[in-house]
Amino acid sequence: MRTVKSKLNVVTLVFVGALLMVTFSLSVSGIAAEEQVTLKVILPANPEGEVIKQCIPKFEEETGIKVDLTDVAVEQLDTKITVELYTGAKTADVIGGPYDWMPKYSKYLLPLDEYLTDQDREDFLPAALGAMTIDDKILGLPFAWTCMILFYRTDLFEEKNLQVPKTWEEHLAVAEALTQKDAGIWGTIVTAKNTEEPVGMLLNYIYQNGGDVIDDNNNITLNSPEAIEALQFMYDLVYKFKVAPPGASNYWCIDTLNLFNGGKLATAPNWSFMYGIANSDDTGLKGKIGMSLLPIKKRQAVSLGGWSLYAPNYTEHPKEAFEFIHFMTNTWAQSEMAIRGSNTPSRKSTMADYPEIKANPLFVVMFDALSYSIPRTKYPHYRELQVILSEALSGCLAGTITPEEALNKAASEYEKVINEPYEL
Amino acid sequence: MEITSINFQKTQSLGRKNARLAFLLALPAIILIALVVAYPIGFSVVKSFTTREGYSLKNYKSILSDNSFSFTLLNTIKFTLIIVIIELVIGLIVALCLQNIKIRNSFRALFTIPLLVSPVVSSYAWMWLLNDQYGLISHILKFMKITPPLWLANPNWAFISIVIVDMWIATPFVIIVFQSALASLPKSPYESAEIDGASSIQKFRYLTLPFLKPAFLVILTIRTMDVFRIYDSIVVLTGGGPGNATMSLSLLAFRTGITFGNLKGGSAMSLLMTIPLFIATIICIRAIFKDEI
Repeated sequence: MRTVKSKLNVVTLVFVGALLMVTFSLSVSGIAAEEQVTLKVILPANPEGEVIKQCIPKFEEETGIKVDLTDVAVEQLDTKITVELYTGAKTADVIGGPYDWMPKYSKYLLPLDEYLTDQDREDFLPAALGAMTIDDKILGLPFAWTCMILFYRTDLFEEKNLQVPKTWEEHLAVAEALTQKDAGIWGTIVTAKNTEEPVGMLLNYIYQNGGDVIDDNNNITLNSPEAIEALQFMYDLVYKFKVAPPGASNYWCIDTLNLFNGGKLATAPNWSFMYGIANSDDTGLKGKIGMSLLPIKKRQAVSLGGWSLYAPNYTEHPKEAFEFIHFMTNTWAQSEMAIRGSNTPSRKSTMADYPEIKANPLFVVMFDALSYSIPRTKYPHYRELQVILSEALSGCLAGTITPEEALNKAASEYEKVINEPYEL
Repeated sequence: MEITSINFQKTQSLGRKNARLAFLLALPAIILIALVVAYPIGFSVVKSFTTREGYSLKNYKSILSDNSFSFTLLNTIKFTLIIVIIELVIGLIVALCLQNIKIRNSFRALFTIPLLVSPVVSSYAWMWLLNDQYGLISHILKFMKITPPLWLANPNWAFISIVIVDMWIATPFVIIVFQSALASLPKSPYESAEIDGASSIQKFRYLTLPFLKPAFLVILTIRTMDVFRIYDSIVVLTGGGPGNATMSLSLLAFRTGITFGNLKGGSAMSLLMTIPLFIATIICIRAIFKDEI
């Protein structure tokens, strides 16, 4: 009896003591929190997010605002952002994510219009700021914007005295001339992994053949003859003409990068980030990389890709959140993103203050390409469309369904999403 | 006698008080777990019955009538049956082989390596290994003049690759459980069987297998639950593709709930997933405890 009583007394004492300690430390940290703002920031764990990470110390030094950073793998980013915004978990004051996901989250995002000065609005390139505008509100600022261009091996072209292709037919001819199966070298590559990124390549081919996802009257044109012809061409590059490696249905931009760096690709449609990595001493390709606009069939057009920073509208630090977003998209940060991440600046001042960036052969091509870019935010429910198209694309390139079946199915599913939308 | 009776009563009383103390000590953890587990489950259940018009079974009807759900359910059942059966067989064979090896402890350490690595990290490693152009496995096969398959780009091979990767990650667990069970087998029945002239196969069939039944059932229960919820390796290796060849229910529920923003449908799908798991688990647990009784 005495033993049990004394045990209970000990337990009670320990419990109360622990409770007091926890309460005390929480109140101390609460007091400390009042004195200094700490921003909770979610960033993607990719090359672009890495550049932002490297800019954080300068932000903290200049503003006195501390940053509590969470890196999230790109595959988990959608879950993280959706759960955060839907539940109002308040684990983020600033989020870095693909700009084309912003419409899905738009009702949870802080409009930045009131914080942006006229000077800022003038400084951003219209296409860049336009892509961030949803329902006439600027919901984010672009920290990395990009599109696909054609990378090619200048040494291989010179050997065979080939010209840079401007059309699909020329590209096919060049790819056939440069494909050496015995040496494991392919003329080009098609990417169709069942994930979001390769959808950009499909959209490029559709645009270049004069097609689109929806027309001016908002009718779905995913399964138009132009779109089906475009997907058929992608399929033929792999299976009919055999100028692209056969594993297309599981390739994405990183495979393009690895194969190009390994000397296995003569030409490679890919995002601009590839240039900095491929044109380094490690790959042996330094100085042997040429860049041009993607070859076309009927019109010059390319899908706009990119990442932006946005803030939940329930953040307790809206001004500080904007300060972070503004800092990471200012003239200097854009120069860092250009130099370290090979992403095109979206500010005119960056190009003016850093002439070496404007003169960089990558950005000469990128500025041209981006002038033909089509933002994905123009499509309703783009996030859902990405998933629908990625499944259709990978199924087609695996040979399980024809291009027509794939795009008919995609169009039908997209129509269902538009007519019966789910609200997050 | 009286003293014994008094001592017994005192012991019982002390036992009850210790039980109360133990309960009190465990109570904070029980409350925390109940909140962390019960609240999300409750939220999910309520969401699954919520529609724009109120509460109904509409979300469930919508999912059950969707072709992609029935296809994915079949796919997931195929994954579960194939992976669990092969794991049980391979795990038992390896555990039996290791019984008679002197350096089995070194092998045991080697086999636990996949268990120490996160499944996502393992999946990324396999993604590089299985790449048809620059993967190490494809290189080795080409060196042996064998044309490597499109491990992740062909629908059938992608299915097989997911099976291989998941087995690589989890078979060590099966081996360890069987090894522990084998190490605790009673010796006397085997000695009697030896005296009676039983062959190795007879001893295995009539002694080892029945003794290993509880271990079988435990592994079957745990691995069935694990594989039915397969997600990490599929997301990294194939994204559910090519097309939907390797789609699993977990990935479909994720896409429905998170990507499409249909949290109600995603919740309904997640709860539908638990029904076959619940039934399978109850059957296995009853079989385990039936033997103990």
